Formats: sequence, C-alpha cells, structure tokens
Amino acid sequence: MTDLKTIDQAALAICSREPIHIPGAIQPHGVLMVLREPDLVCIQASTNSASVTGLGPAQLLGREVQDIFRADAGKVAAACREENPSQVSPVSVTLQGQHYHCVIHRHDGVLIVEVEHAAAENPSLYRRMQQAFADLRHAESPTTLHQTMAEFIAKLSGFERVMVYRFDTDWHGEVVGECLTADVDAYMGHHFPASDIPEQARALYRRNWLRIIPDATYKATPLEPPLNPQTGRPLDLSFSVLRSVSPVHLEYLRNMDVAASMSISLIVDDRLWGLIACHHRTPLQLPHAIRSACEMYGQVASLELGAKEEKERLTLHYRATRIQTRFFDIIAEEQNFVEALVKFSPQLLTFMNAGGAAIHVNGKLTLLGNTPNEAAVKGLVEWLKQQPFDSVIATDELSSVYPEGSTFQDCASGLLAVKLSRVEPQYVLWFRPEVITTVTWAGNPHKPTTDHLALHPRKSFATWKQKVTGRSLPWTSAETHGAEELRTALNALLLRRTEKLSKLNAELEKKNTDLNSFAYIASHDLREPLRGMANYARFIQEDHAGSLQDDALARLSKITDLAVYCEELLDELNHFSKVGRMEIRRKPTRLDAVVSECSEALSSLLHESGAELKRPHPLPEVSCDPVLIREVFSNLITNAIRYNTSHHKWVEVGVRPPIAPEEPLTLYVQDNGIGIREKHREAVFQIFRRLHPDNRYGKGTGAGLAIVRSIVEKHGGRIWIEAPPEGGTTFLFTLPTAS
Amino acid sequence: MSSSSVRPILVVEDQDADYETVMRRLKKLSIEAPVHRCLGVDEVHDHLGRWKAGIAAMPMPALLVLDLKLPDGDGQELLVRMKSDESFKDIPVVVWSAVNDPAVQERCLKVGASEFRAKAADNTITDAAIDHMVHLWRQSTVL
Repeated sequence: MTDLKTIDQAALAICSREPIHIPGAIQPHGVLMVLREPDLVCIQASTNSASVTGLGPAQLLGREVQDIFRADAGKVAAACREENPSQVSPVSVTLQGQHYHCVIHRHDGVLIVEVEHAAAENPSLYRRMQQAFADLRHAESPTTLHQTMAEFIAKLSGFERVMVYRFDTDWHGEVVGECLTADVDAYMGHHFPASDIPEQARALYRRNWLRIIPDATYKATPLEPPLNPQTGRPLDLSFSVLRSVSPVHLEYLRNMDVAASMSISLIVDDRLWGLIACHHRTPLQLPHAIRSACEMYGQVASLELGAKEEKERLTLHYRATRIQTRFFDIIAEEQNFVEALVKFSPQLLTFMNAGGAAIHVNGKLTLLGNTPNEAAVKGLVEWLKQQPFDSVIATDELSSVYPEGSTFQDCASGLLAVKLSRVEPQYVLWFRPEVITTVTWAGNPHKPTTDHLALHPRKSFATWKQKVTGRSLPWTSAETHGAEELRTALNALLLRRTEKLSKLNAELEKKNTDLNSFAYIASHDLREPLRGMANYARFIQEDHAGSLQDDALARLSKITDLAVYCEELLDELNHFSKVGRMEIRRKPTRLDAVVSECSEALSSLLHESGAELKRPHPLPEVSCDPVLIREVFSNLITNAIRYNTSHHKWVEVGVRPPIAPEEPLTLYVQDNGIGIREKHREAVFQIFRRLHPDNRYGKGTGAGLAIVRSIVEKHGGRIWIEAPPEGGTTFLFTLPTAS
Repeated sequence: MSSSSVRPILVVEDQDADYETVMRRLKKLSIEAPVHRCLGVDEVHDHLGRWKAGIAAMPMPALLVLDLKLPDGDGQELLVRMKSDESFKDIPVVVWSAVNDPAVQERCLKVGASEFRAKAADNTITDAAIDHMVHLWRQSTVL
C-alpha cells in the first residue's frame, strides 16, 4: 500500500519533465532517414548517414529513395507504400557492398527509415522460440515463470545479466527473476525506487515493447535539420529503435558498470507489469532477428503472466466460493450471525491466509486466532469508522497509517478490513503477523538523488539494506477481491436476516395487540359470570340461612370472597395490558412532587401501618410520564409497607449518586421489610407471580411489579432488586436522562 | 298513589343475576317502585318511539338504569340519543356497568349520565349502587 512515500518526489518530478521521445538525436550504431510522402524524398537524416549510404546529410536531403538505395530502392519503396510498413520490416538492402536491415515505420506524419547492419540468419531461432513458449506455459508457479523468462532471454541475447523486474502498485520495482552468465553483481530480490524509471519512461515502455542501447558510452548523433521541415517540430522518435536515450539514463547505466542494455516490456491487462531488463558490461549489438524474437517473447510472456495471475485469482475465487457455500450452510442453521462467523473461524482465517480475525457486529466484538487484545481492536475499529472507504481496506503496514498499530505489529502488521454495512459500523477484520524481512534496496531510497535541483543519478549502488519492521506479507488482489465477495455475500445474508426479523417483528406486534385485546376482552367478559356466581351465592346465603349449616354458609361466603378476588385479578390484568399498549407521554416532571402525591394518596396506609416515608434528599426533575411514574412509586411504596413485619416500618425514596458521568439516573425505594430471597428477585416481576400464601401480607394480586417493570422499560430504563446487608429490600430503577 | 300513575324505574340489563340483585335490594328496602326491565337497546328504542307517539301503556320512567355492554348494542349510544332528545333528556340515567375505564366513565357523564356506578362482585359496592339509584328515583318522582 503505502510504502516508502519518502522517495524523493523532486527527483521524480524533474525526470518526468524530460521530453525523452524527442531527443533530436539517435544512437550511432545505425542511420536514420526521414522520407516525405508520397514522393519518398529524404527530408531529414542523422548526421552519420555517410557511414552507411556514402552520402552525408547535405547530399542526402532532397534525394528520392531511388537515388539512395539504388538497386534495392524498389523493395524499400514498396515497403514504404504499405499501410503499415513496420509489418514488412526489416527490408534487406545492400549499400556500398555491405548488408543492412531497414526498419521502416510511419509516425508523426512521415516515414522513418532506420538502417542497421544485418547479421547472419539464425535458422534454429523458430524452433528455439517454440520451445521457449512451451516452457512459459508449463511454468508451475509465478516464481518459476520469472526464472524461466530470465534464463531464456539470457541465452537468446547473450546479455550477462537478465533480470525480471516487477512494478508494485506504487511503481517501485523488485527483481523477481534473474540469470547471470558472467561474474556480475546479482540483483535478485533488490528493490528499486519508482524514481529510477520515471513516468514518461514507463509511458514509452507501454507503447514500445523493446528498447536497446548497444553502447552506453555512445555519442548521440543529431538529426539534420534539427526540426522536421514537414512539421516544423522536433521529430517524434517514440517508435524509433535508434532513438537516443536520456543522458541521465546513460549515466545511470555507467554507474552500474553497464555498457549495453536492453529492456523488454511486460504488459498485463494494459498495465506495465514489469520489464525484462538486460545488462552487459561491454557494448553488445543484437541482430534484428534476435531483437524481434525478444520482443515477441516479451509479448507471449506477458500473456502467460496475465494468464497465470488470472488462474491464481480464479483458484482463490473458487476457494472463496466454496467457503461461501459452506458458510451459507452453517449460517442457515445458526440463529446468531456472530456465532455463525465464529463457527466458521477456521475457514475465515485460512480463506485470507490470516493469523487472526475480528468480527465487530452490533457493537459486539469477537476475536478469533492471533489478534491484538480487545481494547486494541476496539480502538482500531474506532479508527476504521473514520476512514473513508466503501467496502474493503487493506494494508501490509498498518502502523504507517495507524501509528497506534505499532504496539501490536507482531500479530497485526497487516490488516484487511471489510465493512459489512454502510449504515452501521459492522466489520470483519483479518490480521497478518509481522514478517521481518531484509529488503535490499539498490541504493538508499530515502536518500535524495537530487542535488540543488540538478539531477544526478545515484553515485553508488552499494547495497543498502533496510530491515523492514511492521510489515506483513502483502494482501494480493485476489484476496482483497475475495474479501469483497465475502462482504457482498454477508450483506445479502444480513439483508435477508433483517427482512426476516422485521417480518417477525410485525408478527410479534400483531400477536401482542391480539394478546392485549384478549386480556381486555377476557377481563370484561369474565366479570359478568363471576358477578353472577357471587350474587347467587349471596342469594342462597341470604334466603336459606336458616336451613343451611354453618359450614355450608361459610363456604358460600368463601365463594363470594374468591369471586371478589378473581375480579381484582381481572382488573389488574386489564390494567397491565393497558400499560403495555399505552404510549408514554413525557414531560418535565419534578420527581419530588410525584412522591409527595403518592404519599398523600397512601396516607391512610401509612397512617394505619405506622410506616415512615423517608426522603433524605431532594429528587431531580426528569422527563417522564408523571402519571405512570407515580404508579411506579405508589406500587413500590405500597409493597414496601405491606411486606414488612418490622416494629418500626420505614421506606426510603432517593436517588443513587452516579458512578460514571454517562450513567442514567438511578432511583431507589428501600425498606426494612421482609426482603426477597435472591432466587426470587427476577420472578417477582412476572405477572401474577406471588411469593406468599393468600392474604398473608394483605391482599395482593401479583400484578403490581409486572406493571412497574413494564412502565420502567417503556421509559427505556431497567429495574432490579438489591438486598442491603442490614436486611430489607431495595428496588432500583433507571430513567434515561436523555429523552 | 296507584301503581299506574307512579313513574317506574326502567332497568336495561341483560344479565339475570344483576337484575335479580336490583330486585332483591329494592324488596329489602321495601321500595314499591314499579320496575320495568329491557333486555337490550332495541327494546328501549321501541318504548321511546311509543312514548313519543303517545301510544305507550307504560308511563315514562322516573329513572333509567343502563348497562353499557348489551347484546344488541352499546348503552352509550342509547344514552346519547336520549340526552339529545328534548322529550327524554330530563330522565336521570344511572350507568351501571362492569366497564371501569375512566375514559368511558368520563364520556358517559359528559353526555349527561347522572351517575356512573361500577358493577362489582363485592356486595357492598353493589348495594351502595342500588341504594343510590333508589335515592335518585325518589328525587325524580317527587319533582
């Protein structure tokens, strides 16, 4: 991702300004002529033209093709008249008793004819190429492929050092394959900063499959006239094989003790993947046929590279698909999404070749494998939330973008994070451990190569070693792609989950409504027969008192009592269902006033029981439904007095001081009553759950606390019970401060 | 005071037990009020029609005891209709119902019910309710 941004941008900027495609000169090992169309008259030529044609520029300019090539002029003219002359190149010509190859191409509005010495034919070349292409196809791994490429080109071209050089996403290069045929420095594994091959050079590499410098010590041969008379501009030599190269580049080569160089472009998916770079310590001139073979080899090798990378991507893709399928099987059985992911953890880790993973869903964090600790991952998630990314973020050097990451770089130098939802912060994170590698830089990339803004190539190629820490193996595009697909799959799944959930919610709501109306109707409809029973029991009691025995009369009165009690239960049930359906109406409420109202309403109970209502400190004002909250206090205070056998009964209402600033307001109602055993502390909140035999502590239906809990929860609070060490019970409930 | 000239109590009540409770209490109090029972809303409408047309055999009641949940309709509608009719709006109505929703209670009183008494299994509550009905009937017949 973000390696080595310290590479001197100034050097890059300066190099990228040099117009290397219009140098106005060529390398001296050949002769360049510019022919005008359609009369094929020479209008521009390199100043060394006499060496080949016997005619200096002064004599050459203005001459027609017949006068230049004489006996072979027909062949040259025919090639010139082709729509694409380079396709019929080279044209063999004989000038002054010597054999030459003419390479002709049309560009910049003119025909450019480049003449070079012809070498002897190589009859075995075709067969050698066939074998070479087969070797490329059969290479098993990318590493073998790179090595195969270097070895073949070394053998074919005779260069002493052939390197397969790969660009990373930031255009830094690494030597990934090498073949040395002489005692020269090895560069295998070396990294080269992006500034070594500037942008416009890379652009030319993209257009041109091959560049060759037979002698880096050459003296550039200018063109005459300097400007093309046809266009009035310097001639564009982008596609010229003889084009003179940048003096900076020549100096660079000389610094590396290189006299001859060749580079073959490797282009995959329309992007410059890398180069096959060849070096020789002495000048080396390659025959045209070999050069063409190299060029063709570069093209085929590019295709193979692309195919092998695609194959690797597909293999990972299929692996991902298999895992996804398995994942769906698992998740279909699981109720809980996170649990399913955890169950899936071995695959989740192998899938990404990760050492650890973290799942952050619905505010819940789950760690798998080797990960930073929970607090560290939470911090990382917070950081992720701030990052502008749509779906996937990947880095093999986390601490460079997230400095806090340096504390856990041993297990998480590499991070690949997938954002599951764009709305909620839900992530799956994969971690890769630190790999302490020794990266060999060909020159210190942190050392500027510019001096007072005048460009100098590095003076020394002494190996500069940098121990790179805080880095993991990089995430491949196949892996980030796989993560992206997993995300899509999970998203679809989450969506289905959500749909199912909202459907269930709707059903639940309907059922709740049904249940509430059932409670309402039941409580009304049951009343009438109940009253009937009570009434008739009473009629018998009254009308037949004389003929009935005492125990019969007592039982009749029991029937009436039970009916009365049953009616109370129905009332409570009805009330409970009403609270369940009720919308709370919040308004600013002084809790002190609410408790005072309760105290007034309960005055007779307080008086009769002799209980004391303690209010040690003022209560705050909150936003709540005053009617409902009054019911809460009323119920709790009544219970506190009712379930109390103390000689001096008391009940205290207060507010508990907050422990943390964000904490919701916690109110309490404490008593010195009979207490509630721990095992019953949840049960007492259930409707009609009574812990005591009938009427032992006065009449109670067991709905009060259920109603209390319902009201508190409707306000967004919670209620629980604590037992103070001195005995009695404390009911605590929260009211969220924010409404 | 002949029984035909005394204005009766009209009890709109479908439940036998409740009706019997009223009758027993009246008997116990030796109230000789003529009581007429209607089992539903329609029956009362028929009476209202006859009174309006002047063809009724029974005099207009001095008190209406009205249950709300009736087999053929809601007592509240009947209440609204009577209280919005000049001919009947002065007849006091005691709503005697098992519905103990304060909102319903409030609505009944607002449209003109004289009293809202809850039916209960508890005898003391029932007796108090009936006693109050008698009190209202007495006031109404005296006036």
